[in-house]
Amino acid sequence: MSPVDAQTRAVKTDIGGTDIETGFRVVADTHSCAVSSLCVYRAAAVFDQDDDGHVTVLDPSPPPALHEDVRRAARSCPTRSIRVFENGVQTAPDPAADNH
Amino acid sequence: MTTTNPSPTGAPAGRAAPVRYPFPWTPPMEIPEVLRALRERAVVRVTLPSGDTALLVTRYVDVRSLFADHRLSRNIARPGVARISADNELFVDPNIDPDPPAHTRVRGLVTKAFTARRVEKLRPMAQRIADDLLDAMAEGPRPADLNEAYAFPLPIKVICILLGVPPEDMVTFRRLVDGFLSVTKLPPEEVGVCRRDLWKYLGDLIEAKRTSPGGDLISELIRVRDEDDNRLNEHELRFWVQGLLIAGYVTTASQIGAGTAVLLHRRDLLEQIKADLSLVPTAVEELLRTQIMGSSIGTMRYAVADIELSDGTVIPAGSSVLLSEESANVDEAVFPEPFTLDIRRTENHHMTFGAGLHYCVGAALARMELQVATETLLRRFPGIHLTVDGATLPRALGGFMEGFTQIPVDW
Ligand code: HEM
Ligand code: SF4
Repeated sequence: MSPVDAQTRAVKTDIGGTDIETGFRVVADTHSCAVSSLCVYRAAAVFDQDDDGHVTVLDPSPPPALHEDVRRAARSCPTRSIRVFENGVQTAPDPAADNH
Repeated sequence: MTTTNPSPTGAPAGRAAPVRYPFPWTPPMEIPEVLRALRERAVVRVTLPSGDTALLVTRYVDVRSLFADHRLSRNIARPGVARISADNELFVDPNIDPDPPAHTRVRGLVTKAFTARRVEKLRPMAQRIADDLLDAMAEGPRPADLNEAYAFPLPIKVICILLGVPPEDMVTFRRLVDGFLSVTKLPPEEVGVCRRDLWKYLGDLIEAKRTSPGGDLISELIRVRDEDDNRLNEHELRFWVQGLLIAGYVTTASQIGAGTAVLLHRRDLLEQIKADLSLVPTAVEELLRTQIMGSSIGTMRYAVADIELSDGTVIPAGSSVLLSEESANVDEAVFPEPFTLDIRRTENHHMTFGAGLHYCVGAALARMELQVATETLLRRFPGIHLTVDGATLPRALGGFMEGFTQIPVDW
């Protein structure tokens, strides 16, 4: 799935999908990704890498069982390229530590 | 060059008696004592082996954000930047632009070979290599030196296959790389000979591959280079091959050796892992966090503008800056009980592979090798132990890495 598709799908599930209760959304920035592969190891059902190794999001609204793995992937990303929003609020990585 | 950093103006950073860096390994098997109080100040002025001084950033929050900060340039070939060694320019090369966008362009050609998928394809091969090396160790003399029997040949064989370097060249390039990485070990003339010979060896290797390419990463980079000089020039090609060969085994080998030595010294931890090998991945991360195999001298950067740290301390433009991974990794603001080795630690976002746009290209590969090396050793030789007191193992000093010179084991 292209990043554009992923965006569209995320918005759709926000509007009408079952994820509305948790409102859990993952976004990733391909341009700042440094190809550490950490997120893929942490949550292979949610993150993948394109041919150049840059992050792609397979499932922008993963099921609750994966939420903690995804939050941890966001915290461990060495370039802070992954963000998790829950009910519209960024929950990982800690926005207070985002000074760049 | 005699003076290095212009004296700080404005809010002074790290003005106090200079501290020698790298720090001494006291006690030898533990996280260095000096790291306990280091973060009282956000920046510490340190004296390098060259005698030049640099500013060492100590706190996790600052180290992590400065790794990604464009105001810190990796172009340390410019005049006025502190030298690590007085006898060796190490990775300084005036013909390479290590900052974006040039760096990003070349790095992108390399990283695609190190994705999770590509690394996992290499795992069975690493496993076979580990098995074969331990077969040979079992047949060989006892005690064995874990470095020579296992810790070095494993990552060397892996990187040779990945890059398409003939493994029988190992004896030659290891000697040259040792000289290339000398900080105080060798006199400058010998360093110079090693550097020249290594550069020539790599040039010959590239020419040989140009004539008969294979399915390896060097052949792939040559293909890219010969298609389009704007993507990769000949000098960049050779510089990156050199970097991949060196970084591809020296760090990993030192970490396999030193990390295993720590486990063999800490029998309590060793027994827990042996009883449950699923602990290997978190144990490997924890041993990486304690950064037992070296300092952060390789992180040298140059401040192109004033940089204000989280507590208001200012690093003045023109400073030479080191980012202390080892201090960030024991920052009590981030890691609970940072001086305790916790092989089950899960929130372990250590700085041992750096962060940001220079994040270690080979981190996933190194992690895979460390996991295979540790698990295979403990499975094959459950009785493995050091034949000397771990606290007496000598450090390999005077070079870029500071693992142990020898690790005598029996089983
Ligand atoms: C335990 C093993 C390793 C450790 C601790 C390690 C550590 C590091 C660190 C800290 C950096 C960033 C330096 C900085 O930003 O100043 C780095 C960069 C790099 N590493 Fe590693 N490394 C390891 C293994 C490897 C392996 C196996 C390879 C290659 C196959 C490799 C290739 C590289 C390269 C090419 C860079 C430069 C990246 C850039 O400048 O963009 N490393 N490494
Ligand atoms: S963890 Fe971050 S840098 Fe690493 S592959 Fe994923 S998005 Fe890229």
